[in-house]
Amino acid sequence: MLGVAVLLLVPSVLSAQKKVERRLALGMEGAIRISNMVGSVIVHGWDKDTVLVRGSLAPGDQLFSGGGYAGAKMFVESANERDPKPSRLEVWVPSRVRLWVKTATANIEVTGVNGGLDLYVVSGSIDVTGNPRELNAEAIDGDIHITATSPWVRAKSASGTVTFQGASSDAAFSTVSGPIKVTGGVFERTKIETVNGDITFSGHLDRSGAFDFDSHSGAIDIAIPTRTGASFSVVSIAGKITNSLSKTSPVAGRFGRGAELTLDANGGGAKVTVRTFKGPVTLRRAM
Amino acid sequence: MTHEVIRHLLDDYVTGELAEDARPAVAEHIAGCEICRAEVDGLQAVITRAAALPKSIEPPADAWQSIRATIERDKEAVMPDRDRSASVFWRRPSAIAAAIVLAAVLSSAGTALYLGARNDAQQNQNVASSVTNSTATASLAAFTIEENAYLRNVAVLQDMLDQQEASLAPETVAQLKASLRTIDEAILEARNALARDPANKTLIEMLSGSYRQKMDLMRRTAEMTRGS
Repeated sequence: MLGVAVLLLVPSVLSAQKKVERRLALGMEGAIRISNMVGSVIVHGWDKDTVLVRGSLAPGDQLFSGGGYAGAKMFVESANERDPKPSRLEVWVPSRVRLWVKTATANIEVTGVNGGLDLYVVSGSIDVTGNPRELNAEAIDGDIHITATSPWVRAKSASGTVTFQGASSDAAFSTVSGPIKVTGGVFERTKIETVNGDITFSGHLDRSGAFDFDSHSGAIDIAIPTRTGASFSVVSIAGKITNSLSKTSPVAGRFGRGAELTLDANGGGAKVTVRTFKGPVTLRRAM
Repeated sequence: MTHEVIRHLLDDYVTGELAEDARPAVAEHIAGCEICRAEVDGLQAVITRAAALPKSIEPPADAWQSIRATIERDKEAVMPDRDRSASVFWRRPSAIAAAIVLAAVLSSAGTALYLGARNDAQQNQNVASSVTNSTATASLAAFTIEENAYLRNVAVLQDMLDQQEASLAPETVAQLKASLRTIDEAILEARNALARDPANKTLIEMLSGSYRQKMDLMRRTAEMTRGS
């Protein structure tokens, strides 16, 4: 619930593909929920306490919008819910709002929104650029691409790709079979898990940070800068461990199978835990 | 307005925040729609219960002392060999407490029997000499609790997904099933390895992670296919 003071329903009566344009007053730190099942939702942050939506609706679709200064909602109602046609929305929102977007196959793009973001797609893609206060992006089989610096990030897809370029003090990325690629600046608490997707991590580890990498059979490649202080604990049940950070070699697993590697790079520091069932693990210096 | 549209408005309808001119159409729909009526009843029940709650609750004077004593006791009882790679699950007080209780009643052999690998377990217990019996038993006991919860939750989620399958595109259903199959294969592989090596804490943690991931995927799919 957004605590919307008054929800005014303003349908657009349409008989054919139609352009819509509508404005709503919304506080700079208000909340807005947007839903459009098929097509696209593009959201831009701007420095006005106004929401502007421009859209192109499929024949017969209706755009409902309403709300108050603290919270607003807008959603597209498909003329045929069993076979919805693409509607496209481009929305400008106050840059510090809390934004919630949900789609089915529609792609979501968000730029310049610095409040909290909650983005959900089933099979569309999610693209985020900016510095959101919080970011939660979830897909079932869609790709998620994030270029951001954010204190708190969560991104999950099943078969889609997850890429994150930026920095975060608390981040978690998860897939089933999609690859995960995390690159950029400084990370503190980070958890990356997949079943059989490949994990690629290249970034700075905060010395007091904690990093968890989990995979069943995907490859895990961790590249860190030369002077990084980190304590690694790598356990593999059946996968190969390759260490290019030091001369320390993996030893036989303490449970009588697999391999383990424990090492302190540059006197130790960030706690890095890597677990894999049978995927290969590579530790190396960042290029 | 269609059922899907009205489901967007039910929370505002129940809290009285829905615009007056929209209320009659929503009320009319609710009167004839069992699903929406159930959702409204549920929302009203939540609001009623929330309204009955006190505005604030003063904790008992000795609450912190009691919490602290429990934490200290649990630390000593269950984590003599603290492994910083242990997942958060194993650090949860509830899981640890449950592990302590079960550790008293479950023998290693009993747990191994549950795992369906009694003979292999006996062989591998010798290999796993670096792990204390009490820690291994506690881990397995806590894992048994989690596994039972997992099986129950998956059954419920599977029912929900079966009911909602028609609202998903066939390609998405196929992709979802492929993802669930991928997780199931990983679970099976780790499960078989654990049967051969029941004291292996890493395997237990991996299996727990796979269970959580499967439940999370099913839950997310179920939520996404519901109205907002």
